[in-house]
Amino acid sequence: MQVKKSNILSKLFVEPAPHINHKDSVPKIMWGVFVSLLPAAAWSIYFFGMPAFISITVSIITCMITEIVFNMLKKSPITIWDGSAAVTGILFSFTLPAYIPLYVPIIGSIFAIAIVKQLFGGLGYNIINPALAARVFVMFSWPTLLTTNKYFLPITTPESLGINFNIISSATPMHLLKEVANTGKITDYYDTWPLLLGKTPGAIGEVSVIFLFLGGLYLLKKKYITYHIPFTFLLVVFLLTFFYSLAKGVQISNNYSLLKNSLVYAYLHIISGGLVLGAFFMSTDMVTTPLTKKGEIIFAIGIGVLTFLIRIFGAYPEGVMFSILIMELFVPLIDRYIKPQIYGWSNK
Amino acid sequence: MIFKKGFKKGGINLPHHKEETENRSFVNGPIPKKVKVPLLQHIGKPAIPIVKLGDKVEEGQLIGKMDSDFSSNVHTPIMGTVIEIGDLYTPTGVKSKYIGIEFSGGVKTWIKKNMNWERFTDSELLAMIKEAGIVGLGGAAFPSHIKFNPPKPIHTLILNGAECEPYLTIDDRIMQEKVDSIIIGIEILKKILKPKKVYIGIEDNKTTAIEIMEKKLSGIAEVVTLRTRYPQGGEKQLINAILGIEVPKNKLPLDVGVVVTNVGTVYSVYEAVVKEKPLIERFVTITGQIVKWPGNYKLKIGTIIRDILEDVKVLTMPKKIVVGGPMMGISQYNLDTPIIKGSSGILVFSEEEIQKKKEHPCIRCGRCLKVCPMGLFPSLMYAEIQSNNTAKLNEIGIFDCIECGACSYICPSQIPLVSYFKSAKINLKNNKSYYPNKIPIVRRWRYASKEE
Repeated sequence: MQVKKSNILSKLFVEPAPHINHKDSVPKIMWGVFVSLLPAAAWSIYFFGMPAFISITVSIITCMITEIVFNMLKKSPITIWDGSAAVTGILFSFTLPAYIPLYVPIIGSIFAIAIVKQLFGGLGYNIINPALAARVFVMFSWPTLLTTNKYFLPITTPESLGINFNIISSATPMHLLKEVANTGKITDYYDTWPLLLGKTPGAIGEVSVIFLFLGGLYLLKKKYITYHIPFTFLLVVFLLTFFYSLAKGVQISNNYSLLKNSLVYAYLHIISGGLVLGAFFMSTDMVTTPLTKKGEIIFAIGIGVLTFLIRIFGAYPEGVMFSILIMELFVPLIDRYIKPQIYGWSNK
Repeated sequence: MIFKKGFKKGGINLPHHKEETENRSFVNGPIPKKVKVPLLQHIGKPAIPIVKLGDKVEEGQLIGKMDSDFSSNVHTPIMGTVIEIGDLYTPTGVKSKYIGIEFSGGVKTWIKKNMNWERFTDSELLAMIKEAGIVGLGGAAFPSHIKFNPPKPIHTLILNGAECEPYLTIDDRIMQEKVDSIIIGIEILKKILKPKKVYIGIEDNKTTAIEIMEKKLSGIAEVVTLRTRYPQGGEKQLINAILGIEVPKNKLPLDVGVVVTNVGTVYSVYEAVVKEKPLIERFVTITGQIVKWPGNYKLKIGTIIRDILEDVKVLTMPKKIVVGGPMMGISQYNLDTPIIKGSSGILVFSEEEIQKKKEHPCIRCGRCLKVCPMGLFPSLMYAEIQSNNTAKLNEIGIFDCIECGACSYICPSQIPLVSYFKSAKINLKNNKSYYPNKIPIVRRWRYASKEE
């Protein structure tokens, strides 16, 4: 086309520099996190059956509806398409047992979005992770529902998995580890393979460690999260439980040496409970983590130490969610003192 | 893998987009029928017009005389008649007086009359650079006669051939095609500045240029291959990459004994001394998917962008024109803007290529502070601007921001961070409080026009 004066005079689009942008955007990151959680969700649905599916879906939908209601109350644009509400919903449902009555995920989701997220100002302004805060809320509201074993156990486990119900019906892995911590001996030998694959009782999202790992690696590859928090967290818990076990002489099996017993004990701590879910998905939530790499490592060490202390010495078998929530409250403090060194300011 | 030098803090890897033009040799653009030469093309005071309407001017004749020492001469790029004198906004958004000249025919040939330039003294060489109106061609357009006349002796001269901005390829081509001229240019600068060491920093994506420079410049300057990372070509980043030192806060590179200059400037120094040719032409990369003949052109300063686009032919309607690189360049309001001494590229975008941005709230991902080459805290600075905390802004170093745009590029919430900082800096300098929640100004002149 020949450039004529008349048509080239049409309005030019003007915007401030830079004129190119990185391909990541908030919706892309949020939906990326959502997608990375789907394999674990699919496994849970296969393992626990329809109730898990209903529970996950109800959580997501409740979160989105609450978000819309708040958008309308605030007369702000509808923000559900940025995906943050959906991520909160699926993460929250992952922390619940599959067979819990449906009012628990509904009320918890409303609490997560309304109280924790929107009342603090919406996306980017919440000081703690909405999903985890909601989980603590429902835990103290219905303590029996969330600690009774029967809600964690698969009712309709497919026969193809070939699980021996006698082994797994006794307790959740976390109770067993707690017992080990108290007595120094494990009562019921726990195989690590079902634990890794997700053939054990537990909350919806906790069961399949392998799929959670895969989701975490996907996030790492996409650079939506960095390795600093998850790996520091896992390493700290591993080392602390390992040395604790060495000191206390925990026996997983009589055939093992002390070193092997300790390694297996530490390994069991890593792959059981909410540790992997917490390490890759809960503690890496950008909004509630420190901004600098150094700060992230301090944050992750804090979570690791607190998890260890709660798991071994605390009243609850599981400590991941409390430690993440506690450390999230320290984030402003960490950010205040851990700052990047400005170019040329060191030798002023 | 060989360890490549690079600056220490932050930085981003950008898509280069240089394939389109990096293998195209320089082409002389046609002589425009009319030019508009702004009198403020540099940092400092505008030049004073010394011609009036109807005057006949020769190519290379002085038309704007430098106001004080912190200014620069302006010459006419074509032979012709002065037909208008008025006001316009230059591509950088500064309001300036301009002189419009109509081409009357005739071209001047610039012969190499001073091949034995060694006979000139330092001050004579400096005077020639001053007379020719040479400014830094990297984009900032700082008057060269000030830069090459440091108050205290320097020990290192660094030539900037990094060209870290995507799309732009002129420095790459200059290093490949104008080697002999650059060698003379370096010798001239060596005579003026007397550095102990000369480096030339080139990013490793310009393999041909590195090869040629290493072969031809042995014994004259040391070629440093730099990691391709934006903003490697920033003055402070280049010093950090090559010498490993940092320029202290509120200090200039010459305070640490270093002068950094663009390779294009070196070429124009050569022309000013050997040919006695003032800065009336410059190399410009013109590119974009809808440009029929993209390439590296030698254009007369003052050529109007519309005329340039008519010559290179655009296939569909351009919707956005950026003068400069995509990271720091400025998008233009209209096509009647002329190119100036600091315009290194013209990027043409069609409607389809414009990325529509949707701003989200800050999700505290911390990417801006991880990419900031100055180690600043952009998200905190943004928060302080929102809450209008001017005292704090100074404290956390807003004036150390080099406005490279890395934070805006990386921000997943697509907050125009660097625009907030630019306008906050202007507001702070003028002792005005920043109005919170105000849309950041797009260009400097919007602010200027409000002053009137």
